[in-house]
Amino acid sequence: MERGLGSTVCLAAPLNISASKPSMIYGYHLAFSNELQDEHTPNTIKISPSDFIDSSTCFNIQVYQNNQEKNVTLATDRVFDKPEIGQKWFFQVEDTIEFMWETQSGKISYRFLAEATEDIFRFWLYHIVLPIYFSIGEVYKFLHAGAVEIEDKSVLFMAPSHGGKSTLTDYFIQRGHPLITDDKMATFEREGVYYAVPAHPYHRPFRTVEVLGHLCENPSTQIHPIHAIYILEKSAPDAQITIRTLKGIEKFSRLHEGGEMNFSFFTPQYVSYLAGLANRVNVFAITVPHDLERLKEVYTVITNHTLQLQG
Amino acid sequence: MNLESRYTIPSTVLLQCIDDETLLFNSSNELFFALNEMGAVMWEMMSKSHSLQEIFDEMVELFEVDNSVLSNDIIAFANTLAEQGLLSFETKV
Repeated sequence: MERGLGSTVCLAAPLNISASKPSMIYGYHLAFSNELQDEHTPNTIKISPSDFIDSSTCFNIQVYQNNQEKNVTLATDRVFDKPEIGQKWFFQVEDTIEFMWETQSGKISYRFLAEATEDIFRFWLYHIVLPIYFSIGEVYKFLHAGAVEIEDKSVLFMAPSHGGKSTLTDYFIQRGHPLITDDKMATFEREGVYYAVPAHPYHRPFRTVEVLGHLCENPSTQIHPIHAIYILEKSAPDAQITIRTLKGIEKFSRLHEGGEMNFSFFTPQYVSYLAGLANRVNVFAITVPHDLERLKEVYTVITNHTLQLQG
Repeated sequence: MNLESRYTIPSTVLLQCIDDETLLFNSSNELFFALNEMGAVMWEMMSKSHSLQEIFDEMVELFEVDNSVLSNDIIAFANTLAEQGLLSFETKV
């Protein structure tokens, strides 16, 4: 494996990240601090700047061009296998920012590079780094989904990229439904029940590179069991809106297509988790006419259908 | 391949039951395979055995079926699994 992240130009880390931004993300408080302190507070992740992040002993796991048009690198300090406590992880966005943390440490340090701003920093932290942190730390399993609350019930929308998840999620938000997530759905299982964890209160109905998104006025603040998952299927503009219940291998396959943060070393656990989710949660396919004027109909169909489901 | 063939199940193959369907997931190529009821029974036996003969011996006790038909069915099933990378047969030197 290629060693090292390469040389970069760095700037002094900002001393004061704005404290006015939301601090509860994926069920955790984010404590922005100028210094990493040793004590660990439950359900808190300390985010601190660092003038120097030692990447000299890391192995690159994945180097790819992110859809944000930047080269990003994920690396670790040992052979890429099941994560261990204390294992170091590095995430670098070319010319922009670096993050470093240890598995389940409750601390993330960062270093601004030439193109970093506070908003760009928060974009990468909320949208990418924290999901990676929680996945590697085996805190949550992620799905690629939008999700909202419908009368205190967590409802997920899944579809391939450009499949209409964000548009539909945005439609629900505009009608007052609390936003759970617009892209990465953090989930966990406890005693056979699968829960949806509110992500962050930003919504990006139109995907612009490295933009954090609109601050949602009504974000979800509660963790509820997943009530239903709707897989969106694009249909002709004048097609009838139909809902069918998915079963068996088709259900599993559709959920697997929407997998997120599925690292190779976790594949058996992730597959087992998805199977459990498939067996416990109602999953439906809904045809969505390719006509924005008919979103209201889709909204009504989903809302009525969801509220009729037991549980 | 014959009933004396010995096999192993690759560690990349995962069995999952979803609703009333049984599926095999090959994590090396991320392909799914659905097993019908008899396939699920045979896979269950395969996961506990190491040779097709052991499976034959167990099935002949459970099912009223012509021995040659059973033998052919087991070998055909095993062949299909091997073609998809779900079974790995030992090569005799």
